Amino acid sequence: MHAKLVALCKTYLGPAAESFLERMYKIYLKAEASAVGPAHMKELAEGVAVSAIRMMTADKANELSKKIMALR
Amino acid sequence: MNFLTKPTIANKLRWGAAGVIALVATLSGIGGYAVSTLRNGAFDATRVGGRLNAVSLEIQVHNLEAQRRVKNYLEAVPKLGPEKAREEFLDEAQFEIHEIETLAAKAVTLAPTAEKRAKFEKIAVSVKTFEQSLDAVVAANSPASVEAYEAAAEQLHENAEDGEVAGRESSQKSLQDITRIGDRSMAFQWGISIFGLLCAMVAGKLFSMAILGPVEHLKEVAENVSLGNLDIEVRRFSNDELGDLADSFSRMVTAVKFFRFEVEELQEEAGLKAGGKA
Repeated sequence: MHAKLVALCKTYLGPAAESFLERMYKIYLKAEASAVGPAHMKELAEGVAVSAIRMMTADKANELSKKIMALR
Repeated sequence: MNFLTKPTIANKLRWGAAGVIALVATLSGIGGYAVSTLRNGAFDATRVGGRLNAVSLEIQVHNLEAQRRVKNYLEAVPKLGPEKAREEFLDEAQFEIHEIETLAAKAVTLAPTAEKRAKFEKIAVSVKTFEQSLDAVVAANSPASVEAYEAAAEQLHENAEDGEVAGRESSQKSLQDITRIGDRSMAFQWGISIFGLLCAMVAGKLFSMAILGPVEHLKEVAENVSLGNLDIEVRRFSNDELGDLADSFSRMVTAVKFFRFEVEELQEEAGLKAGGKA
């Protein structure tokens, strides 16, 4: 699941994808990358929608959030 | 999506070039058609007007010559006798009459309108009457036959003059037609040239906007980022290589923003720890 998330986030964050996801896991899931599964996607998507706005437009942040949700 | 419909810059250039070639070909075709129409119109006008005018003048010349020779014949008969006078003047007059008949028939085929055709048909009829009356004068040489001849000559002369006027009018109309066609063709050519120029300007503007617009934007983005301003939005203008380049810029800017936030957070944490220790 982590690999899928990295591949998805790379299309929005490029080289920062892995670092961004690890930060999101730490803040919102309180879990390591290896423990992330489909059950975490809703929470992760909501967290990404809030955090990603600092780095990209609201539209792109929502788009990324929806795609993460679809990985459930 | 096949090779030629993919929205790449190369295909846009290909289609743009094809459009320019098509536009040039169309304009050339229209220009060629205009020139061809002018040429054909001038040719028709010259053929009809010029030739009819020339034929009508020839008829008049032969008419005057025929009547002159007949007049000379009539004057010579008492002096030279009928045979000698005929040999001297009448054979030539017959030749002139025959020429008028031939030319009148030609003019009838050339005449562009029914009205003008009728005038030359009258010449054809009156020259026959003229010939018959001349034959009667040669045979009898009576005052009555001379009077009839003179009436026929007068009629032929009038009709020949009408024919000359008709020929001149045809020639003038031909010149007017050529001028009119020429003016129209010139206006058409100017119109086509201006239209072509406007099309080329619009096409050039659209084409440069399609390519230069995105490039200008990406240049602006790169300048802003290089000067530390990361709050610039990267827009994707098209679904071609430039659009893909815009996406790459967008990812790079987002990544730089994220790393900057991380650095700022680490600096804050380090500052707090140092404050705490102190």
